[in-house]
Amino acid sequence: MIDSVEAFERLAAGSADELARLSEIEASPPDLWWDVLERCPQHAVWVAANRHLPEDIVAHLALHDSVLVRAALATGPCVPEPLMQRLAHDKDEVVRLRVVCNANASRSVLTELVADACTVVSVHAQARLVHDISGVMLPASYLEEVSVDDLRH
Amino acid sequence: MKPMLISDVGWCKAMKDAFTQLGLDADAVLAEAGVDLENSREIELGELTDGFSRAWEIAVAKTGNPAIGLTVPSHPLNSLGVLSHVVLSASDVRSALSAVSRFMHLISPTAAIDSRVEGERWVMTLQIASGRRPVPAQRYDFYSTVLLRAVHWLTGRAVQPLAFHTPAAAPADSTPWRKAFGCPVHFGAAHCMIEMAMADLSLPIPTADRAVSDLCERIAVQVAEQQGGSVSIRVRQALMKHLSKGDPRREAVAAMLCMSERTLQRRLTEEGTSFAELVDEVRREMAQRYFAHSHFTATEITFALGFSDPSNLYRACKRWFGRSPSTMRAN
Repeated sequence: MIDSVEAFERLAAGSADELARLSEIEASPPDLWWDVLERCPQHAVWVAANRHLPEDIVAHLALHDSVLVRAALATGPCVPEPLMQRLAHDKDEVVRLRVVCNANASRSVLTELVADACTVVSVHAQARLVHDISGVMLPASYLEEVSVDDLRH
Repeated sequence: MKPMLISDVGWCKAMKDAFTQLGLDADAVLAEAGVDLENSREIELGELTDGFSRAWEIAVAKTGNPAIGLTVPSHPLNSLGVLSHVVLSASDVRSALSAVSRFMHLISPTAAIDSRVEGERWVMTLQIASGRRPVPAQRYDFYSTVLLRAVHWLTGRAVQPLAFHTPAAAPADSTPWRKAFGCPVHFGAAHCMIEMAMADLSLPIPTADRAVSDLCERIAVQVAEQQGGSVSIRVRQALMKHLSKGDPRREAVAAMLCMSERTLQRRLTEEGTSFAELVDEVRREMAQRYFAHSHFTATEITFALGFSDPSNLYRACKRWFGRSPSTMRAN
């Protein structure tokens, strides 16, 4: 638990183990995240990687300019459905790939991603819908037609 | 066989980006160097690497600045192409750099990276294939700069290596290199090497994503298998990495490339070459570089090239260069 921006900064400047804790810690009060973002904008990606963010912070970060911030957010478990829908239409395929691989992506989100311009995103969405919605038990064959051109950042 | 477009080479895009930042007309420089970005034929490695080397030479001549290889691309991960997804989703710096090492051939057919742990240090050795002309120092500088900048971008930390070794001769003023790498820089080294602290390798990556990482690794492996036209390139990269461990065996290299010895032989024949020819070419290129840029003795070069006896090096030098190892060194 962190209770001040300074506590967050200490972890962010700390060792690898301390950095790794940033994704699991909770803030008290939850509004503290706003102060962190205001005073440490360079650490926004670590905030986005946190697994216990309040919904208003998640909504704010979903519109962040940095693709890294949006990608970290799209990976997490605390993205509500409307924001997941928004991230599924992100301009950057890095973010959309996170959404299609997110275990919490709903059938509705996956259905929209079937039409994605990025082939990898599209075939992965199809495979989850057809074979296993969790994305865990997918057959090896579904990637057979994917080429290097389909995953070029 | 699946042809690769020169414009597909991720590092080519990064190089263009750097040239543009330097105020150069990148397309004109590459055209002058003989690198045709629209070329859709299969890439011949020697021709390609010579083209890139020539482009850097032209850029140095036009700018008058030997430190241009230290130019940071506007977005380092763009240089990593398909691998950008892999490194972004890696759990920590070590996993990210290991992935770059494993799949380097997908984004740069002319380079190979070998990594090893030495005590508390992580040592990355960068090899760039040379064709008919030597590899200019700026190419080593640029690869190293991009890799380190990518680590910075991924972690948010300005990770500084413990040491940077470059085959380049010491410049009159080494300040730009010491400032760019933030560590001791050793010129005239046998290989380009970046030494990093193991503690920095453990730094986590905030965008880590196991599901995306697994998916991208599967695709990268599949793409590597699909690139039938690049078997000789992958063999050369494997040889550059493992030659110093002894006389290279075809079955061992085939295993590294996840194919049978027979398939490897057939694929190389289709490409108009053979395993023995590739071993000889790589040895010749490396010998040329060692004689020109290192202080290795002839015996050390013998073993670095995977020969078991100095007499092998003597005979090879006479055949390659028409000179003995001792006169190569003298020159």
